[in-house]
Amino acid sequence: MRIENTRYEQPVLATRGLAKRYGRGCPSCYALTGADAVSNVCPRCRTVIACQGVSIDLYPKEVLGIVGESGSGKSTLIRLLHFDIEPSEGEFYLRIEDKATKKNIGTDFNGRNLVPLSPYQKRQIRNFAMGIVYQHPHLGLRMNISAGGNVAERLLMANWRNVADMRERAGELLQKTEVPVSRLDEAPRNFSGGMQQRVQIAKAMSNRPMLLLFDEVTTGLDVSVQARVLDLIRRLQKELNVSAIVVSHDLGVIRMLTSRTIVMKNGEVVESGITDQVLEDPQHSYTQLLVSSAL
Amino acid sequence: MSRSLETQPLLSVNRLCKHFIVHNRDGKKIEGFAKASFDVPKGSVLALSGSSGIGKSSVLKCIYRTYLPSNGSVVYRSRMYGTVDLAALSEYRILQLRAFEIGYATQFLKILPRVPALEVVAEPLLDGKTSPARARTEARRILGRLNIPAALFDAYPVTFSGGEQQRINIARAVVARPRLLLLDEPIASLDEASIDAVIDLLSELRDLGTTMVIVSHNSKILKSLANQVYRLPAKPNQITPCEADRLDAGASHAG
Amino acid sequence: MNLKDWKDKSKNENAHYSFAFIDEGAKREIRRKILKAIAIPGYQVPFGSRDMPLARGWGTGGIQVTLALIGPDEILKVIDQGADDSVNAVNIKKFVSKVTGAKLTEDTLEATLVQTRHRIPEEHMREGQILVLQVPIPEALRDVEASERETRRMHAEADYSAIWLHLYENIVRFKEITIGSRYPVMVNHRYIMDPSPIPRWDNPKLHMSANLYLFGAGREKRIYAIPPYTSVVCLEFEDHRFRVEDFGGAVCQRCGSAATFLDEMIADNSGRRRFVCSDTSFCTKQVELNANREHPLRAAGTGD
Repeated sequence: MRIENTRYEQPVLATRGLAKRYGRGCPSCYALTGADAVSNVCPRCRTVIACQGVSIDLYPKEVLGIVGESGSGKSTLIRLLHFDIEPSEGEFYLRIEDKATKKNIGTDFNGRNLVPLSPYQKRQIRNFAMGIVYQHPHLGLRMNISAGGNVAERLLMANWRNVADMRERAGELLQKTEVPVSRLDEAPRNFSGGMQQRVQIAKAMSNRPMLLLFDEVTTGLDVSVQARVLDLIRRLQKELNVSAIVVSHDLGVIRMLTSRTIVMKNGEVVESGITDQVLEDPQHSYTQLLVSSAL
Repeated sequence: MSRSLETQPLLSVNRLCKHFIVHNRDGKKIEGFAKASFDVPKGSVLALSGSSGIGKSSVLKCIYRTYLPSNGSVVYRSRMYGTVDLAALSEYRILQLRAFEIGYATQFLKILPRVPALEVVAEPLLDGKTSPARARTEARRILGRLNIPAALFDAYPVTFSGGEQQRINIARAVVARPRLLLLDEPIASLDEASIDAVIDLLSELRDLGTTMVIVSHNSKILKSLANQVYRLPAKPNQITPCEADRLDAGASHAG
Repeated sequence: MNLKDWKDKSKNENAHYSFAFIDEGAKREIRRKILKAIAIPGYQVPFGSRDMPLARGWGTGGIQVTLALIGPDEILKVIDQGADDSVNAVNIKKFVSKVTGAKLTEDTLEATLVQTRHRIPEEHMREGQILVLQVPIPEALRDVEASERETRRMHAEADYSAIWLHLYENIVRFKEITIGSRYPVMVNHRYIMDPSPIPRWDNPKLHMSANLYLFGAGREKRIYAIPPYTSVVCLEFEDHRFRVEDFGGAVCQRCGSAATFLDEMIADNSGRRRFVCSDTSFCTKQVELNANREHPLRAAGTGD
C-alpha cells in the first residue's frame, strides 16, 4: 500500500500489527498459523490466533470493505476496532478532527496509540466517534426498549438530557431509515428483520459519528430487504460524509458499497486494493478463489 | 498552464503490458495484451482497435486501474496532482481522480438493484460538486440527449434492455464532465438512432475539451469522432514482452 | 455508663458480651469501611456482614453501622417509617441499649446518632449528627442490570446510560418518571447512588446537608456514605425536572403541618382517609408548639 504524506490524505483510522490470541501462546504461534498454514490454531500450544499482523488504513469519507470467510478474522477485527475486545498486540490510531467530537471526548488522542487507554477513555471515544451495526439486531438493540429509546440510548451516552429533543432526533433518524414514525414507541422485538436493521442503522448514526462499522449487516435478510438496506447505507454514507468499514463475505455487497477492499484469510490480510481491482484483477490465490467461486 | 505543458499529451501510455497469473492453475501465466504505447493529446479522441480478444478492454482497465499494470507507465497530466503515473499512484489518489477527473463506461451495468435510473446517472454529481437539484437536472438533460424516455427515469435500470442499460452507463460516465473519458464499446448494443445520439453527445464533449480513449471498431466512431486510431499488436507466443523488457532494460515491476 | 464500667462484671451483668455486641475485629473493619465510604461519596464499599440477632432484610446493615460507631455516652434515636414506636424501631432500640448502655430518645435534635428505616427526619440535623439508614438493595442500577459484575463495571467506568434510558422510557410511557422511592441520585458528580427506599420527598435533604449520612446493607454487604456538604442531585431531564410528592392540599390532622411527608391512614370502618405526619416525633413537637402558641401567656413559638 502506498501512502502519501500530504495533510489532507492522512488516514482517519490506522492499525499496525493488530493481533488477537485466545490461549497462552508460544513463540511459534504466528509462524505456524495464518493464510499459508490454512489454520487459526497453533499446532504446538493449541492457541487460537483470531488475527495477526493486521495493518489497515481508512481514509476520510471512504468505505473500506473487509471480505473473508469464517475464521478469516474479519469480525474479530471489527470488534477490536469497536473496543469490544482487547488486542493481544498491535497499535490502533484514530484521527479525529471534528471540534465538537473532540470536545465531547475531552482529550486529544490524535497520534496516540489507543490500545493502552483505560476502558473509560475507550468508551468515550466509542460513544462520540463511532457507530456500529451488527449482523444480529439483538447484539446492537435492546429488544425490550422502544425503537426511539434505542436511538435515544446513544444520545444519552453523548450526554443529551432533554427528552423532547431526543424524541425529535429519534423520529428524524427513523424517518431517514424509512422506519414508520408511528413505531417510535414500539419495541423492536415486534419488527421484521429488515426493520430491525434499519433501527440499528438509525441508532448508529444518531450522534453523528465520524466512523461507521457494519458487520455482515445484510446476511440473513431476504434479498429484496437486503437491497433496501444496502441502498440506505450507501445514501447515508454519502450524505453524512462519514468514513465506514463494511465487513461481508458477500462480494456483491463489497462491490456495491466499498471503494477499497482488504481480503482476510485465517486471520491475515492477504490482499488489499481498490475494490474493482481486487474483484477483477485479484493477485493473491485466495482472492482469485473467492472471486471465481462467487455465484 | 504554460505553453510547453499544453503541448504535452494529456495521457501517455508507455510500453504498458499486463499478464495474469492464475494461481489455481498452478500459476499459469495469461497474457493480457502486448506492449502498448500511445499518446493522447488534450481534447482529442483516440480509438483503440484490434481483433477480438486482443486486449483492448484490458488496456482501458489498466488506465483506470481496475487492472494492475504488470509493467510500463500510464502518465496522466492531472489537475489535482500534476503529472502522475497512474500505474504507480496511491489508491487514495486514484479514487480521487476517478471521482473528479476520469470517467469510465463499460458494456456492463453494475449497480445496486433498486436505484432509479435518474439517481444512477446523477450520482457522480452528488459528491458535493453541485446541489442535488442541479445534479438531477443535468442527469435528465443527458438522458434526454441519449433518447431515454422520461417515463423510465424512475424505473430500475436492471429492467432495461441492453441498449438502454448501455446508455445509462454512458450517461453516468459523462454527467460530471470528466477531463479524461474511457469508453469500452459504447455503441455495441445500440440501434442506429441511438448510435447517432451517442456520437452526437460525444462529439459535443470533445469540442468542449474532453479527452477520450474509446475502444471500438465501429466505422462511424472511427470516422466522425476519432482523431487517431491505435491498433493493438497481436500477442506474441514465446517470451512475453514484459519479460523481454525486464531482460534488456531491468525495468522495475510496477505492481 | 462508661466503657470501664461496662467491662466491670460487678457493675454490669452483661459484661461478658463484647461492648456493642460485635467484637473488636468487626468494629475495626466496619469503621475502616465507613471511612473509605466517606472518602468516596456514593461508592458502595463491600464489607463482611456479621451475624446479627435478627434476620437479614430487617436492618442488620444499619445495626452493624450503629454498633460500630456508638459509644456508651451517646444518645440514640431509632425510627421505622418515621415512627419511634413501631415494633421494629422499639426492638432495635432495646437491643442497642442493652448492649451499649446508650441513652435513648425520641427527639431528633437531642440524638447524636439516628438509625432509620425508609425515612429521613423532618427536622434539619446539625453538624456532628449521624443518620444511619437501613438499605435493602444498595445497587441503584439493579433494576436495569441484574449482573453484579456488570453494575460494578458500570460504576467504575461511569457508564450510566442504562439507567438514564430507564428514566427516558418511563417518561415516554407515562409522561413522567414514576419512581416513588429509591429515586437515583448523582453523588459528588461521580457516582449514581440509591438513597434507600426513602420517599422522593426526602431526597432533597441529602444535598449539602450539615450531617453525615451512612447507609448500611447487611444482606447485600455494602456500606456507603454521603459526607456533609456533598452535592447530591436527583437524576432529571431538562424538560422533566425532579419533583416531590404532591399531597393535593392535605394537611396533618394532628398538628396541621402542610410541609411534612404525610401518611395516609384509613380512619375507621367508614373508610374515611386521614392524613398524619409520618415523622411522629416531629408531629408531637408541633402539637406541643401549637398548644403553647394558643396559650395567651406564652410568647409565639417560631415553629419550624
